[in-house]
Amino acid sequence: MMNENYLLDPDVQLMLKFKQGDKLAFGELLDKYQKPVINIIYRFIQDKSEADDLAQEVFIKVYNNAKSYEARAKFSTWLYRITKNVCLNELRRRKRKIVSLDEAVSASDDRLKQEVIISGNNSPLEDSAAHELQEIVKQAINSLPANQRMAVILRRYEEMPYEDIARTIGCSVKAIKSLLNRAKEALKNKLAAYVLMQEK
Amino acid sequence: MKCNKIKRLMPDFIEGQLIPKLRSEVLEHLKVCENCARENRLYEESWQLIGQWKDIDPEPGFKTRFWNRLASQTETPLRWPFANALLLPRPLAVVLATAALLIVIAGAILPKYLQSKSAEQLALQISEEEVVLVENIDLLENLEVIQDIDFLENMEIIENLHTLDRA
Repeated sequence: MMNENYLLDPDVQLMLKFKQGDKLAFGELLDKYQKPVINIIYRFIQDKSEADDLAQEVFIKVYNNAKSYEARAKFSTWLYRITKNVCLNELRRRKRKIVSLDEAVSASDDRLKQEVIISGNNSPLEDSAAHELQEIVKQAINSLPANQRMAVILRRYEEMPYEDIARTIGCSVKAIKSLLNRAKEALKNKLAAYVLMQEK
Repeated sequence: MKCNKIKRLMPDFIEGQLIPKLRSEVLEHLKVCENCARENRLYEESWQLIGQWKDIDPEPGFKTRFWNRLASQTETPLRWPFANALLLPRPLAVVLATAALLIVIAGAILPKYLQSKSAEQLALQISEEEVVLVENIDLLENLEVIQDIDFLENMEIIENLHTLDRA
């Protein structure tokens, strides 16, 4: 059932045009959202090459589901929900298969669980402060449980309002606020040493 | 306001998510409490720090690869034609196809099985009847023999039995 409010969303209009067969409309959506989708996936799984492949999977799902599309939310919310599901599926797949490249231990799990950070695009010889900071941030984000990680990515990097994050993840606004508060506390604890070192 | 409550409000405070009244109370407390001020600084700076993880750009040729991948998807011969025709998801189509196959096999085998069962029972019945028939045949044969015997001849023998013993 379509909500008339969402019909005002220009991206919803593009998607509805594509549903009617206008492939150029889909091309516009692809142009606009390829970078945010890739970055959400990249920050979640922390693998640049895989992010590219998974982002294509997201858009293929959008393409294939055009006929059943209905404007029940903002287009970006619907798109990021598909992106979230692709990310979670990839996480489950990786948990079943351990890839022994760069590894980081998740602080969120009591078991010695090996999570993988594949950093194929980073040179091992590169030791600039920016690179070091980025690695520290990546590890801090990676240490969060999946749902907190996704909430942080959508809030901090995509600057989504709580309501949209709630619809994307599939829970209440109150639950999202609680999720984000716990994530912020975890990040604060994880990065405290680096922050205090920078202050000196 | 107590420190514990202030600390619980900090995650929302650093993003400007508090109502004005609560925001003022937090600000007033931070002016006088060094511990809470330090804690708030850690919250703010860690939240700012993670923002320094910059976006990546899509790999060159992303759109070309996407359209090629889509084209290869549509060129692939339909592996599940019946599923597509019936607009069924693949797992359900597999289940239904398997069930249909089992029904066909059962339909072919079951009548023969039942037939063989009734034949077995029939065989058992025949053998019992046959026994009776054989017995009857013996009697019939004997009857024929008896019928062939000259009755009068036998009577003569029976009557003269006592004389045969004396001799």
